[in-house]
Amino acid sequence: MALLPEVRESYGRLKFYVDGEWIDSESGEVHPAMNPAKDVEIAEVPYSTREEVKNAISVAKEAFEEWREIPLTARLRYLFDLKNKLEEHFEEISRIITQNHGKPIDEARGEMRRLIENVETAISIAYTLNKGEHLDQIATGIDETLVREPLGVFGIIGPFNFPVLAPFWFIPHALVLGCTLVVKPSEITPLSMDRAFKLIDDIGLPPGVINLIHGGKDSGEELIKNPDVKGVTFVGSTPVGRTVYRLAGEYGKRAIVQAGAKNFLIVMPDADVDRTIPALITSFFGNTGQRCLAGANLVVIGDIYEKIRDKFVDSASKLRLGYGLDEDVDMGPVVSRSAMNRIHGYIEKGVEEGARLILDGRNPDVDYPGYFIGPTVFEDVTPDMTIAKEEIFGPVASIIRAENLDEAIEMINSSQYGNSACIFTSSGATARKFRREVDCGNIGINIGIAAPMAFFPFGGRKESFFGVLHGQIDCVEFFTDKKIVISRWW
Amino acid sequence: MVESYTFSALMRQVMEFEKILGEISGKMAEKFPGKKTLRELSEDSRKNVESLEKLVRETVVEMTLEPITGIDLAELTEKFGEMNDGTEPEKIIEACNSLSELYAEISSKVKQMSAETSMYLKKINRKRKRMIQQLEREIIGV
Repeated sequence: MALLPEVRESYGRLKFYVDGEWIDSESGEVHPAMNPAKDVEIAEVPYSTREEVKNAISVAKEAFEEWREIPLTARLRYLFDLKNKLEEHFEEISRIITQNHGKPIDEARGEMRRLIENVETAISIAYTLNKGEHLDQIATGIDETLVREPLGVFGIIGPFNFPVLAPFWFIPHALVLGCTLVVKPSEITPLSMDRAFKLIDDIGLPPGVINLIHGGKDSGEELIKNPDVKGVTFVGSTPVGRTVYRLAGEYGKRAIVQAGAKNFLIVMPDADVDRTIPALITSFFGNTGQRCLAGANLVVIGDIYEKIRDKFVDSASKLRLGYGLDEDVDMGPVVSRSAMNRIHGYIEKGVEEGARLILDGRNPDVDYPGYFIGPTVFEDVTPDMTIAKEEIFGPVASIIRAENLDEAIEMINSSQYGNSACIFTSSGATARKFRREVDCGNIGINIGIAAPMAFFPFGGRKESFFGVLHGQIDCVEFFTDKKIVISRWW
Repeated sequence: MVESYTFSALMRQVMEFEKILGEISGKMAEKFPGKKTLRELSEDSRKNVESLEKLVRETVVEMTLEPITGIDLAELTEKFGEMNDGTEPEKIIEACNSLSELYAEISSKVKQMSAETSMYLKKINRKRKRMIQQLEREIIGV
């Protein structure tokens, strides 16, 4: 199969989008954006100075006063236009995601489809959940009304693994509800968001309503601390997420913080093996394991253990590695050299701690020079080992034996994380027990990636989530506040 | 032939079959009885390529992008090879019948990744069944 063409070979030095203009950064700090399959630089990313972030926030604050006055129906039209633009450039942005992140093109297309679903959901929210409430005659001659009002400027800090989708869990909702934004995409994978902003520019939103900056820790901190920002959303690792949430609390800001994970997939003795194996493979090795809903620990119960282990390893060993723009490729590289080195470190740690490495993905045979790690599987893993406890964020599966479902549930509930857990079984009663007793935000039953659609909130518990409201549909609560009006007319 | 396919790779192969079918049936329409049906088949195959291209790109459900196994394309590829010179019109009927079997199988396997693609393959089969019957009457005289 021939490679799909890259949209461009390289993208030059990225600009910021502020006040409806593409501007050059004055920052002297510039980092490369890479193609992780080829190990080549494809763009230069300037890290914004504090002053540049402050300026973007100030512009967004000024724009808020006008944006909130624009009738809802008019704001919605911009979102309809954006949806159409995204459909029109669907394939182009998908390929940029693959080029900069490394994921196979089907997964990039899946990311784009979900992104568009979020735009569609935001439009529907505006017409429905945003409407407010009214109760006539709460006392004689008195009525009570609840109206929703947009709060102001918000900061959106994106992750590298779903570089356009994750920020779009929030962006369309904020816009349609009348808020204004400063978006800071991942500094490692900023290119797809850069392209999405060119489409945003095309739809002609009023200047300043949505702004794009690039940068690292300092830019993110300014977004949280600045007094003109009402709140921030963050998707990323737990250590950084904890800092974001702490700072947000300290500075009195709203925050949605979706953080790390260590997800368990449980296979019961009555599971349909032939259907379970492909679902496990996608969960553990899809997106090269770099997803907060990826499987990490595979817990097999009872005498099905050997059968599942052998078929799982056999299927994993057949996955084709390569550049994701080749449609035959099942798995791309990890996102960076440092990620590859970190994952290698975990594999070494697993061996040191006594787990048995039955499929070693280090140094795979690939035609590209990038950051490739093949599917890696350990068995004889115990829940107290580092590889079973810490988030590896790569294609490494740890197989753990358990005697029964109670033992498996105990393992899940003892984990510091609570993003997702999945079970494979033919028993409704077993599935129900699992659903009720597991302390996680997203539960999969005979599905390996329990990814909530745009019209549901994106769950998460324990160290996987900080906040009260989640992404996607919960945004109507996050970006607005309720005002109660009690009225009497003489 | 590979043992497992990504969704896109498998559908790319389907599009390739449709493309070849469209070209050969277009050529045969110039030489054999059943001219109208062969032309219709050719035109239809061309449209199928366009529609499938769009569906494959735009309807994927990312959480169920599982490797697709158990599809054998070898036999069909061979049948397409036999039909390629366009000299034996009955070969096109054989190829269409084989394609229908394949599409039924693929339709069930891709249902959870892209319901629209699955439905489209069923639609192709429904329409093509009528065309195959027509061609059998016109070419073989059945």
